[in-house]
Amino acid sequence: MKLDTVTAEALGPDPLSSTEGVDRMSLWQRGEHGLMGLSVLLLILSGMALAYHQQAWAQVLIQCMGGIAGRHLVHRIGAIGLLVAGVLHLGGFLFSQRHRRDFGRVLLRPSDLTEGWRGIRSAFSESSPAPRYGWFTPMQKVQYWGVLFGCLLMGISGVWLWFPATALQLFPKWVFDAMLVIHAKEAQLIFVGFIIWHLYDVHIAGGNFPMNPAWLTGKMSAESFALQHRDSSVSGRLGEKP
Amino acid sequence: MKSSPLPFFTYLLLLGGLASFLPGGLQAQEDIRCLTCHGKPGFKKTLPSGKVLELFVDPMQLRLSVHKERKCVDCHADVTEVPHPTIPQKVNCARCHFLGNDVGAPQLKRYQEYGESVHGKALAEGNTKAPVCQDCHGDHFIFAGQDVRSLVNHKNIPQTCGACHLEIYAEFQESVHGQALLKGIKDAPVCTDCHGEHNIRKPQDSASMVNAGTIVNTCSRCHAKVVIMEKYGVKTEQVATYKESFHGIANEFGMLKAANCASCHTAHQIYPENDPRSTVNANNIPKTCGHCHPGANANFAKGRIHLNPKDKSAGIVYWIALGFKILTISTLVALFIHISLDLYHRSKNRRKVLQDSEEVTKKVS
Repeated sequence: MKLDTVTAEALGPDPLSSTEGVDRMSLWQRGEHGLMGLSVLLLILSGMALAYHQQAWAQVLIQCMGGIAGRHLVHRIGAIGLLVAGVLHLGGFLFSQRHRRDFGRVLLRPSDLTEGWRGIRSAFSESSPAPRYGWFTPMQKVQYWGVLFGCLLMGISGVWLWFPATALQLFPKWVFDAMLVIHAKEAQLIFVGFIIWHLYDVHIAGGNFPMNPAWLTGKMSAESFALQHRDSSVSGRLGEKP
Repeated sequence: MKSSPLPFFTYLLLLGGLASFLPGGLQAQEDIRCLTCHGKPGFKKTLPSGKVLELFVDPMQLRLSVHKERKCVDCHADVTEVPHPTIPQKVNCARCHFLGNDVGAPQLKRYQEYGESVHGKALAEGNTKAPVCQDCHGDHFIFAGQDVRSLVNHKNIPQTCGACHLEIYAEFQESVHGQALLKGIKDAPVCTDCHGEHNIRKPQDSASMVNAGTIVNTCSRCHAKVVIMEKYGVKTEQVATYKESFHGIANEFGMLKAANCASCHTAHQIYPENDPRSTVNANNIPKTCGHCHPGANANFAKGRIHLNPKDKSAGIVYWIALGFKILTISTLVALFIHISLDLYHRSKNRRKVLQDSEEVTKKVS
């Protein structure tokens, strides 16, 4: 895979040498992330309102969305938003060299396992060697793939629930039931595993409080980057093996 | 049929003698005048229209009923002369059965509910076929509802309503509820258990017990109760699983076009699932679902309805749910470890920074 060794010329100046900090997210990526975040927020609010419809807070939410039909509409608007974010993601991969480079860097490698383990060990013992994570930490990689497969699973099962009559004509009812339980349980998993975890990481963990500004400005400070990615030695071409 | 006069007078004398010992004895003696004619078996009158009025009254019936202390004219108040110059009017029960009456007639809110009911409204609109009190409770032979002789006793209700609602009575008799009633099962619902008594309204009326917005509650009154359902091997989780389904949630939030109990199980032709006549029998599912989902086919029947993902009988759905549960709990544990490690690491760093600065301060001083 040559994706992560895209030429330096194509990437412009060394992000670490820049006084503004490390260039983490392109405008495209920030837009994609923003759209996805907004859509997921709508999906979670309207989805949890349905899943916990017997709770008073969920009933208030449903009333706020204009009743059960309004809730359905909000959920579908969120679904379309997420779909568009998915199309943008695919478009980035097809048309931007930088996005292809980032994709190459987010691929899981055996080193993620060894470096991740080293990271845990060094948290306990000062004598253990410090890990070297690179452009994406192993945790970020796991989260990326979790979100990607999570969204795919939610999208596919969501189609069943969006068009129940057609889906039931084409596939047996037990497939529908399986899709429904996948949709509901995967939503829970995404909520605790990715949303809460991600929000902790970018707002609290690694000295990010009040937040890692990369999602708005596209940049994070070189100090934070060095601290969180344990990789101040390499230049902007992070992710390459030292 | 003509009865001989001697036994009839003997009967009257006997009744008079017996009646004087009863609490209503005095009234009974006053009634003897009425019974001179109305006590003759077969006493009838043919109206000019050709309609025949059966006018025989068995005095013993009245004496056994809840109105044993009442005399004929207490109810037939418009009868003042014998023979009657005009045809006496139908008895108005509200003469006594009104709130605050001084004769001790039971008067509850439900009697007033009749006026609001589909029957009461039909009567008010001039429908001469609309049932009044006597049509359901009887006239001279009225007993308390708990009495098996009462027309409104639980076991007699279907026949009483069926006198007018013949077709539905036939359907009900065949249904699982009707068959249970025939077997003497006291828990079996009859017409009034689902439709109400004096407050019966049209199903389209939102206040009706069988309205799309209320029917789930009505069926749940028995079907959600373990003590009742376990006796007959019927699952109570059907109610809970419905309420968790898309149909149930839509219904709960007022989307009344969504299927309710009766949409799939019908109102009166309810049969066990394995009965080929049942609308929820696997063979009939496409037709049943097709009422709302045009084009429904056999795939609709390939899988359980009223599925409980927490129960092993749900098959693949149970295992998927379990798998996700394990995955979610593991993720939560990992998140907890991640946060703990992060906080530990940061506190350790902070200590180190503090130590370093202390050393620097010492060196400087």
